[in-house]
Amino acid sequence: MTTATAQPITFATTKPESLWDKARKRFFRHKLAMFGVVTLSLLILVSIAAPLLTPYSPIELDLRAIRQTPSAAHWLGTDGTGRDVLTRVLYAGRISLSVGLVSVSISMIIGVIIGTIAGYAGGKIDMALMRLTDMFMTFPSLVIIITVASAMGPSVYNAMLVIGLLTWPSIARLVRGQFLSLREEQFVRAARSIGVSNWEIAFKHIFPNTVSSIAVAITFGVANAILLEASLSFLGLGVQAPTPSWGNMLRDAQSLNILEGMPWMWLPPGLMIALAVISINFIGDGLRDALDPRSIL
Amino acid sequence: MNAAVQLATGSKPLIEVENLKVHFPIRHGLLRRQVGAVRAVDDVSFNVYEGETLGLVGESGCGKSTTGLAVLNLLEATTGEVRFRGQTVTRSSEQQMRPLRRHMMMVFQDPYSSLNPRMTVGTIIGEPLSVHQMGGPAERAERVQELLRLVGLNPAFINRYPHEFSGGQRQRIGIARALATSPAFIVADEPISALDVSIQAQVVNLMSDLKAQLGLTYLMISHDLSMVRYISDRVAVMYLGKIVEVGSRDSVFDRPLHPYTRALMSAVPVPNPKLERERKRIILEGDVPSPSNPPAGCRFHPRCAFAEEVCRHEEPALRVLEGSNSAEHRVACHLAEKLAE
Repeated sequence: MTTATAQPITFATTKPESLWDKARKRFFRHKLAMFGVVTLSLLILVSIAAPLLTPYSPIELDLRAIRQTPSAAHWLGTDGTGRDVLTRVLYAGRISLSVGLVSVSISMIIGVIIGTIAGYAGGKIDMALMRLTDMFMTFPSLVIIITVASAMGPSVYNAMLVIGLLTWPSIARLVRGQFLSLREEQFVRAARSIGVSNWEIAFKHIFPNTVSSIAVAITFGVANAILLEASLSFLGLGVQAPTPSWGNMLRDAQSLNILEGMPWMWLPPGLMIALAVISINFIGDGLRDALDPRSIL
Repeated sequence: MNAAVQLATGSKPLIEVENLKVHFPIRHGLLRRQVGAVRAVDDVSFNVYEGETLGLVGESGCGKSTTGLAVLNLLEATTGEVRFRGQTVTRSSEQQMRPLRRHMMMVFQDPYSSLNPRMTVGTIIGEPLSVHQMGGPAERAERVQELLRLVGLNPAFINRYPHEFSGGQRQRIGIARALATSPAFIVADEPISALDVSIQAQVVNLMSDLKAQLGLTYLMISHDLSMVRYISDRVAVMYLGKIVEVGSRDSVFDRPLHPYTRALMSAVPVPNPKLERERKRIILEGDVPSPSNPPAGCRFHPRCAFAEEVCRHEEPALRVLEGSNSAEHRVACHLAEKLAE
């Protein structure tokens, strides 16, 4: 051990690049995520532009054109009451996707708040909040949704609300878990040793480190909510006829001879659900990889 | 280093630790009833004098890191008191601590987890300044660059993120953060143990240079005896939550009085192959007893080769050796006089 070694160490490049720039780059390089983004944007776009894309109404019946096979006039055929399946699939996208987004926003707000409080406060508060969360988790969600839907009357808004109110526990647990482990990190202790207040430690030091997993949970939550809405509508408790949603279109195609002989009635909405869920999950995967500051370019 | 020894006896203490105990409760059952306690730090007293480096050594689990955290009130002391410039640190709220925090900082063991991965180097080093409202944004940015230069890093690194740096560079960032508010006292908790051997010397040298340059006082917690010998003015040896020996670096290293200290010293390799081959090692038998159920009497007696009846019953106090001319080399051993011969 000799004298000082305090000499500046230089890198070849010193151009600063923010964490977000890097994350964005990584995200755009993620092939599956890009596939998800493109597909989902396309789905959203055609749902919004539905009136411009088809000449038919999604609601009005046309009893002269019942159960027609796909043709030049009806690309995806018509359903049991003569409505154009393509038109209905496009309009249904509006409902299904917005149910996904709205209900996840509700569940995220509740989940993040409860998870943050429980994870940072710890002790008795954590205990109380987590037992509440457990309680919500043990509810068989479908049964509750059915009960609530039948009590309050089935509607799109009720479906959004109920899905939101029943799916927050998973987000709360995730956020709490993240807080619990991050709270023990040395950098939190370092912040305390500097004199940073509890409030600032929670929001400036810990919360930014949970954002990536929350973002991922949100995407998976949207996919899950779309599926839940589909099952609700399939059971006749979600979106009500004649408004189309992917779920109630499947429900309308339940009978055996339709399943066997008229795949154009159930294949398109089913494919749309699968496509939407898969692309959202790919986006979630991409986000998870991109938002980890430790992953290397 | 004679000046330092004089300092130690003559100057006033910056940090006074009195009968510090940190016990962690062990709880069991549904009602979380307390059934015992891990006595991590059990009645420890020492002073750190202005301008010195006190090395706190001991094997892992002996309570040295806990002591360091309790000194900064980052862990609550069960009983006892810690004073900084006469002001009580223990049992004060975060609000009361805040004005003191800018004078006493900490350098952490793990340079990987002690820096927030989502903050830039500039934000990390500048945070103590903004917390203590020192200067405007422009002044702070300037100070951060100055600090980066001080610890031997390029000031242009200000917008980079911790993961872009090596362990040694990260530890320099951690040191810069600790120095931001120009503190008087720094607790360094094993600052080099997580680093590559080739980097360790650099960081130790940086720390001792900074001490000379800025007039810092260190509490250097380590199990690396060569490092402690190199950097410390005084050394305190801990065993199972207690200080067993304390004194000036040279007297502790050259004339260790406690059998445990001797065993520790004998484990230090000598950088001379001839001497190294002849070096006698004292191998301790058995394991360190559990700090939740420490042995009665002298805590070291089950592993001590010289233990007598008195060691099993009576706890030895930290005292000056009889007939010794050094008033500050103290040891907690009943048999110290006998063994010194």
